[in-house]
Amino acid sequence: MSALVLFILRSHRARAFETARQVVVLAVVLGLTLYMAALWPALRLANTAPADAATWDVWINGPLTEEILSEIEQLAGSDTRAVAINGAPTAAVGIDGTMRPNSRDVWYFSTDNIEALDDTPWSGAFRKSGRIVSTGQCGLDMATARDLHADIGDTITFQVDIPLPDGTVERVSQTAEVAALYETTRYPSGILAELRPDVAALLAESLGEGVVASDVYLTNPGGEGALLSRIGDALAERPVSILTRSVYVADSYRAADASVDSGYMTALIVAGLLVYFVWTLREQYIRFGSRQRSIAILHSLGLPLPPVTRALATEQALIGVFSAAPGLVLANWMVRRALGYGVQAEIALPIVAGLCAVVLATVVVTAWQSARALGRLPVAELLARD
Amino acid sequence: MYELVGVSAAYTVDNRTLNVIDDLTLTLADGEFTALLGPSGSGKSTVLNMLAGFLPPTHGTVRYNGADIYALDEAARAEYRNRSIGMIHQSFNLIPEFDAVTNVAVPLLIRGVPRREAMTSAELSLESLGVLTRAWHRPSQLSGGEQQRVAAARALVTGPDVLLADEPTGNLDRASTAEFLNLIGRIHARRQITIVIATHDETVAAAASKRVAIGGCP
Repeated sequence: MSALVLFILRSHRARAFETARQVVVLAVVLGLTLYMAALWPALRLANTAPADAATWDVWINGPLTEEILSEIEQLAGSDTRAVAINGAPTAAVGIDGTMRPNSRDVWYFSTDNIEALDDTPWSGAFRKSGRIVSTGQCGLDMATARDLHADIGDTITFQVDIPLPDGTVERVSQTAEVAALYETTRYPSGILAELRPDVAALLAESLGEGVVASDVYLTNPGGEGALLSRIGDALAERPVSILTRSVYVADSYRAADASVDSGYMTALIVAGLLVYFVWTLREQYIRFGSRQRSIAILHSLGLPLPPVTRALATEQALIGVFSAAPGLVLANWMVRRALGYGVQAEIALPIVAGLCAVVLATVVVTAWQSARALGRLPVAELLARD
Repeated sequence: MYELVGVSAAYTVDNRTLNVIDDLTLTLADGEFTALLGPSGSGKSTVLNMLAGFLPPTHGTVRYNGADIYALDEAARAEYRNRSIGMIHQSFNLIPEFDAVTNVAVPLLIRGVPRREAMTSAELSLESLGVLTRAWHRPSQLSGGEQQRVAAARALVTGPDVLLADEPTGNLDRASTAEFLNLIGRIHARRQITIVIATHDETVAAAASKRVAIGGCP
């Protein structure tokens, strides 16, 4: 081990608390920056989604027969996204995509918690097995799924007790792969598992004569509101309530709103990166100051200065890695916590790449700054100092 | 052998240029024990720093065995410091993060000597100077005299041709000073290396075989 490496290691050992503090602070700054970058789009969505939803979504509530659903399907057209649910507001047979009255999808969602299932007619109908074994119940909204460590792509098994109109119960087991249902609406994002046709048929049968769904949600981002308004008008005479009507909002307004938000987000991320960058260089500057006499002594004993520059840059790179990695872990943990609360945050790869670039920049600046400072190191003066 | 030919040195302080050494010509023969004598600020340390390769003269040349030290590139000058000279300073200049034995081993580690071998040589060097029992102590745990002995052990561990000492007794009490001079005398007698001591103390200068007045002192 060279004298220089030995010196750097010993100097860190002597100031272990200081080094740990630096790494922790940098990790927290990086973690918060990443978290902010991940959270902002979700917060923006949360802030603007109600307006978007009011603009584009219709919630049709009431006993929906196949006839009504067919009518809605005809009015909606193929570019309308729709979800139909049945039963109570928290448990549903649904349709994903364009209208398909004979849906084979099962969708449960709850904004509260899994216990809400107990208050529904479907209480006890869902059981979980496989990876999800902790509570005996299964919630498939995003937040509940996160709580249960169920990710999209996982395989889950339902055991469904279906109460039939004659009072008997049909129990059916079903294994399904979890898939994402929704991305951006004001309604809670869900996770979808597909049921076998025979199960779906049993469920439809249990709804009552002719009723296949209790609610339908419609969204048509390209429709500018007019189409959905027409659906609302067409259903005005039906025994259903139209809870949300579309209201036209100009695209230009929406684009301007998005660009302002993206400006804020960029400013926040840049601020976070700037704090990391400045703090890193400040710590490096202080470290160099406290070591320059020792470096002068090593130099007086025959150590050339170029390896010192390389060693300091390497040290900075290691500090960068040891702060960036926990920062990433911290951010990931916080993002998962946010998901647990139903906020769909995601750490985007370009942001991670940006942070890596900043870490690299601190290494380059450290090398440059060290080379400059070492070139002007007042060796004789430092050695004469008492 | 050192040759200083027409050497001048100047510092700039507050935009004023201070000529510390002016047209100094001096020859220091191999194996000679020389004392550079003069009051504080006379330029003794400046001469020593020029000999060590830290401070290029504003005029003139500093030659070591015929080669101009300041014509060497940075790497060659570092190697010269590592292989040819050992230095002792008034403030000892031990690295606080290292214990005594590691401090002594540093010049060998810089040279690329394996650590185990370097540590063994360092222990021998400490033993020859009577401070082996303090080998695993940090500089802050050593007395001034012990620190100076460790610094001397470090200066000598590489077997240098030249020992440069800048006010080496400046921070020592009378007993430690006498002990240190005795030690230097023994080293000179045993190894016959070139020793240059910068001092303002007549009693220290008296230990040398040659005295050179710097800054107009006798």
